[in-house]
Amino acid sequence: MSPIRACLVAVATCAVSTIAVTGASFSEARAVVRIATQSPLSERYQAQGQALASAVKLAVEQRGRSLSRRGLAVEAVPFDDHGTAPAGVDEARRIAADPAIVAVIGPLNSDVALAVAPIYRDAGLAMISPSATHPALTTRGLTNVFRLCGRDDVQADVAARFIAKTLRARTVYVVHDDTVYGAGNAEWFRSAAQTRGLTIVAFEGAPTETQARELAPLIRAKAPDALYVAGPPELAAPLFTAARRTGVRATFVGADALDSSDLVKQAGDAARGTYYTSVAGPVGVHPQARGFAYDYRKRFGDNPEPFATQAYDAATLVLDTLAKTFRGGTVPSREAMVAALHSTRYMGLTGPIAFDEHGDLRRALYLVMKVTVDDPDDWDDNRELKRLGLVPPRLARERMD
Amino acid sequence: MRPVGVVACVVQAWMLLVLMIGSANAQDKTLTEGRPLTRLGDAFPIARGDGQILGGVGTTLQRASPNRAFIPILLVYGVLPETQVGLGTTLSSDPHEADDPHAGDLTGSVRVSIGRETVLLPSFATTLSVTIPTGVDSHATVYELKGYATKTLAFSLYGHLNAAVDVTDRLERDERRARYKLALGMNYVLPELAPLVVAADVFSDQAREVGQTNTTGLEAGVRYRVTSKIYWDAGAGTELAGPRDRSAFFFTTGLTFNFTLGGR
Repeated sequence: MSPIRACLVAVATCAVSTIAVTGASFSEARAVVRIATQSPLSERYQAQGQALASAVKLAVEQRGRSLSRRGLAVEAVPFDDHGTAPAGVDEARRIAADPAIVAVIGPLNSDVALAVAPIYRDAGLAMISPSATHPALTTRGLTNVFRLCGRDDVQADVAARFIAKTLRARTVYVVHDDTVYGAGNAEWFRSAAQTRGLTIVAFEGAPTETQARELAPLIRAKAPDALYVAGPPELAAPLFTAARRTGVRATFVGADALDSSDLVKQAGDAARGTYYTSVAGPVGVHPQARGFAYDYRKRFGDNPEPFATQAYDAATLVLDTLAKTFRGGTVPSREAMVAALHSTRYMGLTGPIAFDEHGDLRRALYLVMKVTVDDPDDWDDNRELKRLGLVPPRLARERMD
Repeated sequence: MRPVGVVACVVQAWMLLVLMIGSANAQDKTLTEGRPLTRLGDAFPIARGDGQILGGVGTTLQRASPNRAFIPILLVYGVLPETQVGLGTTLSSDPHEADDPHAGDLTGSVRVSIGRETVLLPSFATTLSVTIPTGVDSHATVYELKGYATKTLAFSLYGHLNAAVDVTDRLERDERRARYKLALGMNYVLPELAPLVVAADVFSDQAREVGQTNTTGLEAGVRYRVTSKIYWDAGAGTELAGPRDRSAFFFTTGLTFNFTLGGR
């Protein structure tokens, strides 16, 4: 080897080793935390579940940079719970076992959320659901549970009031999907409807599409003024289509599970004119979320589904909490994150975020919407009829006391 | 061209526009510049690629000069994230009157939104606009710098403060070189009738000429979502104090067409 070549080899070796050592020490100095998302990325509720994961990913990409500059790398890790409690429990155990995960955003569905919340409680993990509406989620004394949406007991009353006062209907046929969410929402609706003077002519569970279709002649025989559905588009679409074909003239009304472009995709014309309550609503409801909608479309090539904005807010809330609690290179414990979230006051794209002692929003959004679009891509353009900001019932009672 | 031909051309142009461009996220809950209030706008940005065409008619009943009708036209478009450009003019039935801005003048603007609202701080935006004297009897170019602050006050209730200063490059008689304009107001989405937004403000404009009284007034208006693309608005107000020839009553109504270039 010539002296020049030897020198070049020596210099190159030194440079490479220096870069390797520096890089290694740099990466070792950086702390890494993960934010898990738990939602259905396949099967039922896939559109909303994928949007939840995508919105969190976008938030971490956009807002995680400032934490990264401070030495804390944040990653978003999606977990697919298939929208079912058994799969959700399996995923929750995997999430709880990963010490780098500091918070969970999800689950999307109430059934899954109710099943996995105790697992996260035992692991000390904060669980922020952007969409689970079952009241029991926050009434079981689990201090690690938060939600960024309204509740079924309030939502069902909003629907009952709308049917009685605005639609001036008298009789309602109730169908649910026999899940914890669907059956629970339907029960809350039945109770609220009776209080509002409505007559429930039938109360049926239909867990499969076939069973849903088979209800059409029964509904026609009862001739109700309104048909209330507590279940996803996979249940409502075949039911609505079969009902219209059979000659059912009732007005279709549903809960927030219908707030998905899948309804128009699957039910077509039969969905037009359907009223639904929502605890999320289209992005346009929130004037500050315009930029988010654009960024989401640009990043993922699709419109943000309902609850995507809430998921984005949940992620930025976690990042904000991390920024406040990450001191001196020490990653906050899971317990510290839970405590910090309880005392947080944050302004999200969806408005002010502050939780009561049970993890409910102090004031949540409830909408009554009407399906006015034919194209699933235009789902956000559905007509908003009512916009209410309501406190959780428990909080209202306490205030009255 | 006969009137029928003109109408047909307008309808065809409108349909072509609708076919060419996709629908944007609804923006009916916000206060676009001049809609429904003539003085007040909000600090919320429109997304890149989204735009609005605002057109309408209005009338003002003056205390001294002849009453007149006017037609405000404005195009705004988001060219970059948090940045939008605008181009507008106002036509008047009496273009010789010294309205503000002068009838027929062309105004171009660039608006930038600064930061998101926090628990303590409002959203901010700022606009730099230039009004070119293309109108009848216009003599000066006017540069205006305007700041917007918007804060969520309660559920569906937003408060807004606008402050502007404009500078005129060529003065006539006792005109001021620079003068300020202030507007403070709120808008609210009606819970039981969500397609409707109500808004109101109080405003104060420094007098154009030295020695004149500043104009102070109030206005109120509504904006209604007809479809996701089209909103109707109406506003009315009065100038309570000001120069002798101030507006005893003014009224505007019009439509906003919301679009996204390239679809969404």
